[in-house]
Amino acid sequence: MSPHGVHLDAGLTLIEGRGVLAMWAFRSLAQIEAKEAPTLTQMVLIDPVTGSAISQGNQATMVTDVRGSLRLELSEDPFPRVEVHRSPLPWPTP
Amino acid sequence: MRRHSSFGSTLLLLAVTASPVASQAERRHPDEAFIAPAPRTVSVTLGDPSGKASPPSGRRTLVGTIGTENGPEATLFGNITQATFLDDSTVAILDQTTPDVRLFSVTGRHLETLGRSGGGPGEFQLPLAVVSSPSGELLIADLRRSIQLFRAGPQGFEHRQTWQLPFSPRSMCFVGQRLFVNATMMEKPTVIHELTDDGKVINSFGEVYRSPNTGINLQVGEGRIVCDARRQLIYFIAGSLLGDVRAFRLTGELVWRVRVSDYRNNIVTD
Repeated sequence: MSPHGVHLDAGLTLIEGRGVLAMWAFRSLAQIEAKEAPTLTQMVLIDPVTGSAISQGNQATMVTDVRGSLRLELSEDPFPRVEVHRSPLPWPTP
Repeated sequence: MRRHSSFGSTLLLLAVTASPVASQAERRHPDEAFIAPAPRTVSVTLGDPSGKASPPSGRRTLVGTIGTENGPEATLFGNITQATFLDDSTVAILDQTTPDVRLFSVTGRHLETLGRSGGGPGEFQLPLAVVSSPSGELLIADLRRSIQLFRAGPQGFEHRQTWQLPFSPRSMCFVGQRLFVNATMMEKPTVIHELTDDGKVINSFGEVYRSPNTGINLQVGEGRIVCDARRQLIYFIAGSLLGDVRAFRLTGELVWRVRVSDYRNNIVTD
């Protein structure tokens, strides 16, 4: 087992006008030992044509789908739910 | 709170070691030698995962919340595995703890629940994926190697047809009228399959991990796909063990691969 934690639960969403958003939840060693769910998602935005990719940093939620200005974000804490958010841009610049 | 991988079944095939050094008789995975090559590979780093999560950048407004802590049963979730827009106003939710598909408005109002436990029409073992067809039908992939079609009727969505398949689709998407699914089989190394409009496999492509251990290949191959109709591409992300995203043309030609160089995974030996 990795001494630092592991990535799991890969996610993938196409954001029109921005690129392909790839995501992985990260579960720390402490969370594994405590049998807790991951609380961090790491993301990269990929250029669909070239495959060039740039990190989007760490977020608390997993983006499961984007449609126009609406996006779905999966949260687990304090209970499993999906939040629907509206933003003026399809995806903010990091 | 729980979050489980949907790939738990194949994990049983594997052995995870805590030892950093494997003996000569052991083969360690992932091994770069088994990763299917690409004409263009781009490396990217995710960065330090030890820091706290940043709040989402940019202005955004909460439109609705789907799910409650102590509300009606239809709004209780145990382990959400997919949440997707069916159209601009409807969201479909799959939960690993219930054999159904729940539909909600974007404001969080429960609209309808499709399916129940069982083996008959309109019944599921475990729904794995849901997608809306260009003609408005709902396609729901089940662990029981099938896709069931539902069509909107006066009383809500009604079961119309069941396709029996040689695999259990993990993810589905359309390019125009063409349906593509992500699924793995012991017999074939490919992970993307195109189906006809009556559920027959007409093309398979996309190799990702080609080790002698089929169980590990399946684990990597059970990922997700997204269709890009404008660019006529299909994107695939590996399910686990690899930080790997690939773009394929509809003909199956691999265009590029993104490799996450700091992806952290359990070392698997066989």
